[in-house]
Amino acid sequence: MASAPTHATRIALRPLSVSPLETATRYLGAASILMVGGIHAQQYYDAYFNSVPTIGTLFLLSFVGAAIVGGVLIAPVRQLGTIGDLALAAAALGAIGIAVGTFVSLLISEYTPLFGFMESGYRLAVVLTLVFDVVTTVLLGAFLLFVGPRAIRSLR
Amino acid sequence: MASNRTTSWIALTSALALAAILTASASAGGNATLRVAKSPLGRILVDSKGITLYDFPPDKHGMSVCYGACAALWPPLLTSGKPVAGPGVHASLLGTAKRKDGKVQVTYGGHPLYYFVSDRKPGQTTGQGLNQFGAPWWVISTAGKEIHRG
Repeated sequence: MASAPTHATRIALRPLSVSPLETATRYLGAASILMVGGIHAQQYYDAYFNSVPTIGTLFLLSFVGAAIVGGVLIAPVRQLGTIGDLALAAAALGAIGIAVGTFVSLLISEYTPLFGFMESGYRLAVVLTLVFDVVTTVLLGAFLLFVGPRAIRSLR
Repeated sequence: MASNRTTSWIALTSALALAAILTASASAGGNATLRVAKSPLGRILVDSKGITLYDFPPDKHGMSVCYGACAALWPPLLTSGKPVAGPGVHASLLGTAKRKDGKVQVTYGGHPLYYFVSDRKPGQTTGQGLNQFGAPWWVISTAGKEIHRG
């Protein structure tokens, strides 16, 4: 006969109930950071940015990073209970880091060369990236307000 | 108090606007000067710092079709005045063309001229023959002809 789960195990593995707002900010934020990554992938592969030193590599890293954090945010990590909260909080922080980093870098490159590269005006890919950077930061920032405290509690 | 805050905002906005204007005028680069450089591809056109210049075959009648991502990777050679012909450059082939954004691009033999973003030092021709944005890019001879080698 299987032994009954301990109190600690029950807490760690119990799926948490979440508000619709938390769910919305999580999945819309995930979609937004995936859009940021998608645009960078399109620019890297279709717009020849793979031939640009440093900036091309950063575009690829942004795509890979966005795919990882977006994947974690979409994955059913809630099944892991409080461990899942930690993963979600880390992924949200990572996504915000990518979004803010992209936003600042783009604005700098509009006015002065960054790693030898300067943007040519606010073309569509630039505008879309800036918009999704802001959307990502706002949504996942709000999501962190929900999941962050739970993640911190789980560390104690 | 509110007045001080307003003044601060005006000062900040003015400073940013001034910085943008200075940056924009700096990027226009004054009167562009063309020179000739010896390279493994032959004698080719370069700018005043020796950076290689290219031509994009789809440009027709001296007008650029390279905008957006294309212009980010292949920045046009801009000038704020009449371009200057250095030694070996035929002044009669030099010209200008207005871009959609109002900036003035240097042309040579009717070809709008561009840099390639990967060329960082004099003598580099990393863009030569690259097929990007619909056609290969070529360096230009002093006669204003594309050099299809390399």
